[in-house]
Amino acid sequence: MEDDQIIELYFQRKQQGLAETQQKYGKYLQTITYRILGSNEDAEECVNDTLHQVWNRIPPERPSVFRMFLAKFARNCAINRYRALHAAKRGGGEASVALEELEECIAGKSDPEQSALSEELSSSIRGFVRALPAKEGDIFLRRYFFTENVKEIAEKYGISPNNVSVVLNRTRKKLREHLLRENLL
Amino acid sequence: MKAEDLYDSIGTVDEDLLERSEQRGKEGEENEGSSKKLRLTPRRKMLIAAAAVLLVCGIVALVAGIFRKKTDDPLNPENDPILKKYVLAGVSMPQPGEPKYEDYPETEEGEKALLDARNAWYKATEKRFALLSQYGEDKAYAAVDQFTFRSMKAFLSGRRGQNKVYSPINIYLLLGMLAESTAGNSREQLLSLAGVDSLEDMRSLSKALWNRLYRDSRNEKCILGASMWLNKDAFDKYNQDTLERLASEYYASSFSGKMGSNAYSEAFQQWLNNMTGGMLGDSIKDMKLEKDKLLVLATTIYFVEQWGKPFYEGDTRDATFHAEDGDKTVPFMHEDGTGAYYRGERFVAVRKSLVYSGVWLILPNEGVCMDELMYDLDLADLLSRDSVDRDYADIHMDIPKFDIKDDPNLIEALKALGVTDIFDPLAADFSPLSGVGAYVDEAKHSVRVQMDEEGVKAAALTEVGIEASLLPANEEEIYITFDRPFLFIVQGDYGELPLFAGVVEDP
Repeated sequence: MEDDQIIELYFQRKQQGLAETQQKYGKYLQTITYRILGSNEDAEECVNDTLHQVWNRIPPERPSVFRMFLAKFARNCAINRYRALHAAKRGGGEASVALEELEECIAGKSDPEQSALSEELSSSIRGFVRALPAKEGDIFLRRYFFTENVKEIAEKYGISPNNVSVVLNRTRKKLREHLLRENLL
Repeated sequence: MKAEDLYDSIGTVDEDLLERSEQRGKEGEENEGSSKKLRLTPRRKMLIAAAAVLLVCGIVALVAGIFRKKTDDPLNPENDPILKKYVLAGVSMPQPGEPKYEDYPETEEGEKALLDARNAWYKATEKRFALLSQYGEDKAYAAVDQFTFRSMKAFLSGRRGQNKVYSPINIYLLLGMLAESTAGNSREQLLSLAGVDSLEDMRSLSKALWNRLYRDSRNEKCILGASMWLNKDAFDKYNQDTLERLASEYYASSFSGKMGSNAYSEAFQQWLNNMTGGMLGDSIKDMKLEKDKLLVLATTIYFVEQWGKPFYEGDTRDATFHAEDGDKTVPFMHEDGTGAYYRGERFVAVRKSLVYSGVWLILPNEGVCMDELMYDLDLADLLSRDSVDRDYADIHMDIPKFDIKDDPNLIEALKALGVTDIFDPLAADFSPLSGVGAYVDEAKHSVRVQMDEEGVKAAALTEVGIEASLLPANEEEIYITFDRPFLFIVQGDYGELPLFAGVVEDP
């Protein structure tokens, strides 16, 4: 079924919309959440939570890119779950490594007013990613949005893992400079 | 701030970028992905679109057959009901389209098959792109750049007050086909203009350029086309080897029909329209295959790409443009952003990025004549990219939307560039094509370029433009208003190759 048709089912408040979403994107969302959580059970629960959230958001929202709309919710849900599990010293997954990598962008700084910053930070990050050269931006998002590991990214791009690491390293440095320049660090 | 905050913030990145990231495989290469969304319809995605048709008509005798495998490629003339009546051999893209998600079942086996298919496709793409690296990118760019700087004078000078536009790469690829069809001094003149040493060199370069530039994806289109229209009454007059080489090395489809017949002309027009997205309908409708023609060669380019950062439609305002024949009020687009600029002695240029490519917008200083600019070595530097010391600044730009068309006189331009023999019945040497004496009696180059604020929100600056845009060398702010005639150069292949160049005199 086409995405537009599925969205229409949500607007008509038909549960079939959920079933169609599950059928079409269930595995895809499971992949995203699994990467972050590293556990099939947790990942599956996150997918269910995602569908629940989507049901509550559409309507009134009408996503322009349904697949990415779902991906964002799934990722968000998985991160929240990761935090909860992490606090209880459980779980792992690729997110732990991704977070360690991102630490270097903010090393040596802390900001107690971070909650006030979050919106500004999001806006700044959006601009940063948009301004990156296409390939660099794509690889950055594959790593830090989709949480794919370096080897996976390398395979998809047909380049060496080392090459991917170099690109990511360079981008993280740029991000740090960008954040400094924007007074976010 | 914690790393988690950053990780969270990355989750707010715009969906179009996420989609691109997920669907994109290799640098510069995309194809139809898994989605069939309305927002991707051509009209909406078009930010800049341009098309060109170039055809050269030779005289006297005729024909042959080139044989290539039929495929599902929609642009292959063998799949068009009108064209297939005349096609001898339809040439398809040497690489099939990117495997689509929806063609594979969402089972373990299906996903594995999809992954395998996509990996194979990436490898094929890499191989295709590598042709230019094997040839030598620096050498290739140098040849095309010198041709562009030389040819700009011929195509964009004079005719004051008129919009002027041409496609350097379209003409360059035709030079290769002509060189392949000629010998002696006729060929030498063509190779000299192309800046290559030998026919073999030209052949390798043309093929490599073709493979590097050809793109057909949701976000970018750079469709190149080539064809040979043969006279069936002179079928035994053609040199089969040359026709086969034009097919294999220049991707030229071949057709055979009765020159002078309406049906054959209609098929010709159909092919041109198919290959230029219907953008040049007005020019194409008058193009006929006259009965005295031995052969017609045609090359086309159709280019569509979105701005990296679209102009906001709500900022578009009517303002005054100072044209040659007086002031006029036209809609101006507005943008505030950071970007690359270059200040020559006689002009200021700012770069506006497309998703994968880019456009240089060049405004001559007050009092500098546009023709003067065509001889400006700073402009040559700008084209040659490496030697240019670009700066980055906050740029506040106002520029009119435009949709310009031009049919520059190709014969006069090529003659001015030193290609004369092929137009002279006594001097032309088309012996590799046919034993019958032939020369070029007609040549046409039609180009149209549209630029406006439309386009989906997909963005990234090009590799060159962005590295430093994040690290501005200074805090300079540039206010630039393109309210008098200006020059533009559209560059494909991540901003490396000049696809279109034009002067906007009357937006």
